[in-house]
Amino acid sequence: MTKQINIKVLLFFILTGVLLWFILGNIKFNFIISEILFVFLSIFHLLILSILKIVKEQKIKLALDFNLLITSLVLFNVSWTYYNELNIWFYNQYMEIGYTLILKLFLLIILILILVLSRVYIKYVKIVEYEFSFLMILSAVGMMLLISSENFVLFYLAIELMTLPLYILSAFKTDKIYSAEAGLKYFIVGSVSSGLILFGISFIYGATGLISFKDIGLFFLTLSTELNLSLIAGGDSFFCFYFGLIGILFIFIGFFLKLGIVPFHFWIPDVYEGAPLIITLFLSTLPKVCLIAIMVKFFFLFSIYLIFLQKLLIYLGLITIIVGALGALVQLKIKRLLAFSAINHMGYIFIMLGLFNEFGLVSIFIYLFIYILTIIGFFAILIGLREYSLNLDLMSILQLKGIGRKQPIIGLSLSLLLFSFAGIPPLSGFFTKILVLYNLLGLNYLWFSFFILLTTVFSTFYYIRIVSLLFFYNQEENMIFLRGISRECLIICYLALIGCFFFFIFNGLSSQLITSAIESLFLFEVFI
Amino acid sequence: MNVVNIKYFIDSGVNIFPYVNYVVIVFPLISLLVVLLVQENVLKSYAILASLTQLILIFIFIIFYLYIQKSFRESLYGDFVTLLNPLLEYSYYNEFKPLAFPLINSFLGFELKYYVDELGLVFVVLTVFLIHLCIYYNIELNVFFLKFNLILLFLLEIFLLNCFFVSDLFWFYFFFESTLIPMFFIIGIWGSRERKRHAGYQFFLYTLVGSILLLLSLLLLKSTLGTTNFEHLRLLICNCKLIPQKITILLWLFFFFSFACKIPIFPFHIWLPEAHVEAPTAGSVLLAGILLKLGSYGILRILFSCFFDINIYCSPIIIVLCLISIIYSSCTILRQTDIKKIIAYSSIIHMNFGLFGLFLYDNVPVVGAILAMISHGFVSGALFFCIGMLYDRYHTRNILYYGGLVQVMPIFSFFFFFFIISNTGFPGTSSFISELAIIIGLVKENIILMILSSIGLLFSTIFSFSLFNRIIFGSLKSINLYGFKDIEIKEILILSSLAVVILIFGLKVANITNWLSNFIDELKSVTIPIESYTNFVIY
Repeated sequence: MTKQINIKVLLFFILTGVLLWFILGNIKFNFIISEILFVFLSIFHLLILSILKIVKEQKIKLALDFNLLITSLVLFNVSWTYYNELNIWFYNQYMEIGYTLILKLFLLIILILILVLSRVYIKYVKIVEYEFSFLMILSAVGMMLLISSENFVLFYLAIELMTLPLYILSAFKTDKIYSAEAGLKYFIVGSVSSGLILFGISFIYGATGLISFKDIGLFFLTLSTELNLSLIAGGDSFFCFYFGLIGILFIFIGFFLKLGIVPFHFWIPDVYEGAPLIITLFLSTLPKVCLIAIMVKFFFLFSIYLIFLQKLLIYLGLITIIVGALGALVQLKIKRLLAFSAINHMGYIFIMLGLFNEFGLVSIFIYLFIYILTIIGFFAILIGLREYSLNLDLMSILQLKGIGRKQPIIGLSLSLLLFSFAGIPPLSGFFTKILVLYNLLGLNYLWFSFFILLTTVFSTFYYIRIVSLLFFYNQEENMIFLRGISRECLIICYLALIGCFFFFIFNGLSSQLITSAIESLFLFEVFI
Repeated sequence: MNVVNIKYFIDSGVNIFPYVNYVVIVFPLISLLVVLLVQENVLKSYAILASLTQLILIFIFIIFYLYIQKSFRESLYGDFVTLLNPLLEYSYYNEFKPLAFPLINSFLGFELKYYVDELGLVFVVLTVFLIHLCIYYNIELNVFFLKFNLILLFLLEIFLLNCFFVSDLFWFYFFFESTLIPMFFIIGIWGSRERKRHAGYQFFLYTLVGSILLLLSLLLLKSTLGTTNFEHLRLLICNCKLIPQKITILLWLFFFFSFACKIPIFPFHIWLPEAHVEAPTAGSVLLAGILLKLGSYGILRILFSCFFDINIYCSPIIIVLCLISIIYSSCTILRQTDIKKIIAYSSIIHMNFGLFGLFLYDNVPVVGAILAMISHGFVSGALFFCIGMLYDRYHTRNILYYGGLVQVMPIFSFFFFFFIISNTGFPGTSSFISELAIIIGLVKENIILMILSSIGLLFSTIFSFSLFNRIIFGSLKSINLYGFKDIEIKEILILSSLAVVILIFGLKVANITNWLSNFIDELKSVTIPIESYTNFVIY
């Protein structure tokens, strides 16, 4: 009976969705249709779901299915939007170029994978509120707006839209005290960072009187020529210069807090540990992509402070790598370990961002792509494996003891993903690491890259420790419920493994795609 | 093309042979897939079939290559008309393209091209031979997780073959470090004691630390010279002297450190006895037989051919280090009770003795050094097989529990005696020639050095015979050992094939030495005309 209802409701929703898409598509709103479609459809479905009278568990599943459908619809739409054509709308507030489109595509694909995994996750974990997936969608809309934002107002609003649902989501496991702690911590840190960003924006507004990125870029360009020619000694332009510097520093500190760069990394392990498993995956992948995308844009805007910012980012990146590598050595909890590993990898990305050449920018996104693929594969298995007796998530790495002996395929794929994290050759992680080092050595950072390579030894140690736990011990009884691995998890893990093994396929394909995207950004920013 | 160009082109072996791809990737991959896809109950027969076919195909390839090369030389220096001429013309006038994976052409301008020459070929013979013996041994032993074991071994074979045939330093590094993953699994899963994890970590991390410097100097070379192809490096560093002296010394030290970890030379040798002892039989055979040779192969390929003058400048340091490690490990051996540890330390002695020869620069000791590497691969592999067979029967490696085995295992004792005397360098075995050649070189160089290193050899003879004496002779210790059983026909097959190879290398040595000596002349002749490089840009 319930199945029939489901199918009818599903059909109804598909029809309405297609109809809406068709109508909206015909009013020549193609450029912003993805976000509008996204918000519109999800709110519409939320309304309907609140009226429907079915069992709560069914509601959650239904909501997830709808959201998967909506996301794939939006993905379809994004991929159909014009590629590499400059679109600026709403009085310079919203920009759509090849760069943003590629990132949105990437983002939506990850979102779909996460939604598929959360369909598996809700089978095991009692999550009663059906707004669960809706909040994810809302956050993703914020991310898409953030990537496209071309104005400080939209930028700030998008950041808030992105993070507010995340606070709720990380406290979503209401019966666990850790989850509440994680939500609270994330909320405090997130609001502090948003405050810092807002403070920085106000400084920049004070210096320039402008909020549009384009105008601000133009302003600082003229300011730099003025300072170079020293037309006005002292006075207004110096005031503008230092105010702008303080502003961008505050904005960047806000970013560091959100991304977990080292002096501001303290919250990451706690939040990762407390949040539900699927939300940890969400936190560790999606916000990073769009925050780094917008940071790249800021580098173009504030090119007057480029040398200062580059040094800041490179040295912070080095410290981040060292802390990430050393911090994880003592961790036994799997999520804390992954948190430190995420810190470590963010360091690499920051170094490439700090070098700021075209090669570096292209390799940032290749790095992110491979890293995120690997982490999704890893989480796909973690979601599948559950503790037998108490029906708990996998907590400690010691629980992984001897899984490779019982289930070689799962153990092997986990350990290959770990080797990819560590950057051992035949896997893709090695190539991404080489991208960083090649770039560094091309710019004569010899000892710098030597230190980075030394830290890889430490990070490799904690990855291969897990591999040794998987394979080199006999399994103790009653540790893991092995039937738990479902087909979806395995398929996603295999996808990740293909990504890990055949880097060349992606190297040829993705680097071309990403290079053209970055070139579109360059093209756009040169015209400022 | 003038004569010099053709000569260079042929002797360096670039693009000479279009079928390398099959050997390097396609054949092992097919056998890997066969092993992966067949059912458990027919796994053994299919695996043996796949491995045998692959072995035969690879040896056909090698013989074919040698034949072609011989006719090449003939066509250069006399008899011009050969049967294979059209084929040859095809093979070096057409640009060679990788057949197996057209996607894997290059990464950041590091081109994946193969390069067949004498040096690589000698090591490839060793690799293929030992790996297939290990596969056969594991199938017959019926180890647990047999499928996974065989997959790892075939994977290791792919990596190693690529390592010895590849013509670019980056890809050499790539495959050099790829071997860590299968080896780590082999040590950790099939190792016999609890300490295997520790040994696995040590093996992994020591090699990783060593290879960091290799990677760093490789990328440094790429950023300064724009290429990491071996031939180009030889030309640019040794001939054109494009890198300043100070940086060259730095690079030399980096390269040396990374290979010294793998060989291993004295301060970096801690991982070797651990890893050898804890690894299963196949693992120790492969470690001693092939993976240690990666270090000496790297030294020959990069240090020996590219940094000619710095080698001479730094050779005292190396010789002293080698001497220290020879004498140190000979003294350590005398108080060991684990049989595997004894063989492991003896392989340190032999590897370092081989390294001696490389830094003496005459043709004779260098050929001796290469032969020493090869013969050590066969001999120590055979000894590890022997110990593995003992361990399978009695589950102990402690020398004190053994004694008088000749009374119950006569065939085993015969083979063990043969390998022990080949370990000491008995005339007629392969190690005799190599040791003789190195000692001739040493006599020319420095007589005191010769005496000091001969002490190491004397020690090696002493412990080899004492080991043999304590295991094979004496009274049978039936308190400790029970269920005596001599080796079976399958094990005899493994040991006798190794013995035959050792005898061939020992008796028919003139061909091989001439062949290698020609090659070393090529390596040493640093005056290569620049015109011969057509597709080559200095950034």
